[in-house]
Amino acid sequence: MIDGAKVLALVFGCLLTDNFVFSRFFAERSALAENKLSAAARIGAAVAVIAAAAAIVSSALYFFVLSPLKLTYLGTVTAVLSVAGAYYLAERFLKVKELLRFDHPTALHALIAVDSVLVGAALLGAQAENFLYGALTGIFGALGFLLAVVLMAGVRERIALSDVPEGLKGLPISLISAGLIALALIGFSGFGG
Amino acid sequence: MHSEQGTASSKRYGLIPLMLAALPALAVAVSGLNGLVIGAAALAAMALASLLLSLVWKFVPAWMRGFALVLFAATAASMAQMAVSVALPRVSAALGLYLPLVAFTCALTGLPDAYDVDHELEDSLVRAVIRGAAYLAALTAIGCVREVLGAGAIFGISLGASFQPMRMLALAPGGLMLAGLILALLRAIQPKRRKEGEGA
Repeated sequence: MIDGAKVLALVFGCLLTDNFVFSRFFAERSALAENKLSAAARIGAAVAVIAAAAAIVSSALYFFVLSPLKLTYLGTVTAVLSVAGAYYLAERFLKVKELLRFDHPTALHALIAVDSVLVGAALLGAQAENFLYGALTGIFGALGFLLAVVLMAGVRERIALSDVPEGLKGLPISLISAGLIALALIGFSGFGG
Repeated sequence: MHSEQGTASSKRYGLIPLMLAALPALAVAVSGLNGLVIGAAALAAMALASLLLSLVWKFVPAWMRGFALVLFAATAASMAQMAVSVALPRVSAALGLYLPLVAFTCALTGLPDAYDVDHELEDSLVRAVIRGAAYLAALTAIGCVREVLGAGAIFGISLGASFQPMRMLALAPGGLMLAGLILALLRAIQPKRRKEGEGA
């Protein structure tokens, strides 16, 4: 049932060539706008755990409930509900609210609005070949996302020591640096199948 | 883009997240048509979510409001996706999961400052349509620039064999770099807003 080569291609794809941040453009705040390495890693890890859980739940609901009942048009709403479910579980067991430092009354909505990686992962999980690949896509995609977050935080720490033109300071230089990393990752094309 | 009613959430969010909501669209906005369709879907989803919100907000209990906002945005995004997949099946297939994703994040990002204020139907609808139109214009423009420079065509019409396209712009790295340069350009045009944007 599990094709080893396919799984390996999936791992390489999720970590490098089809990275959530550099290739799929899913991440926002945690990857591009958070400043310190430690803060970025903490937020990135919390978001990655929720994203992986959301993808697994969304994939399970899609393949075991929506598909057999021919309700696939509810895919987007189900993906969003999976994110909400994963968030509430993470909040309860991992105390992510403190990790993510959200004091807004609608923390879930604030989190989704600034990090589309959650909904992106959940939608992607439901588009895989079957439940197993959907779940694996979510898990390795979240790991790739964490890798990107840490990588970008390191890059931003180096940028902070450099003389950046006034207009490019902050997010623009982050985006351009992310573009350069993405360009480097194109070198791995073919690994990810 | 925010209204004068500077609520806690709008100050918290700043300008950049509003722009970032449309960032995933750069993965697929590689042509003018793609940009136009995904921008139109975002506009429709924003208007619809805002309409739903205005109509039923008073009946939603306070503890459910965060959840309700997310659900409204998801419903609006689903409907926008269904409309595009019926009207333009080929473009819808090319846009894939980005169509519901961008429509959803745009609709949701458009909603936050409605959380704290009393909102009249017309006010919130007009604001959502204006914001959606800004997304539509920006995504179409980005799509056109990437299509012209990256593929040597505009809305599918070739610019001639003598034009040498820069393929990188049609790929992910080009999208990220272009987003950075556009943001820098926006700052140059609106220097007063810089501080607000940096608070993101």
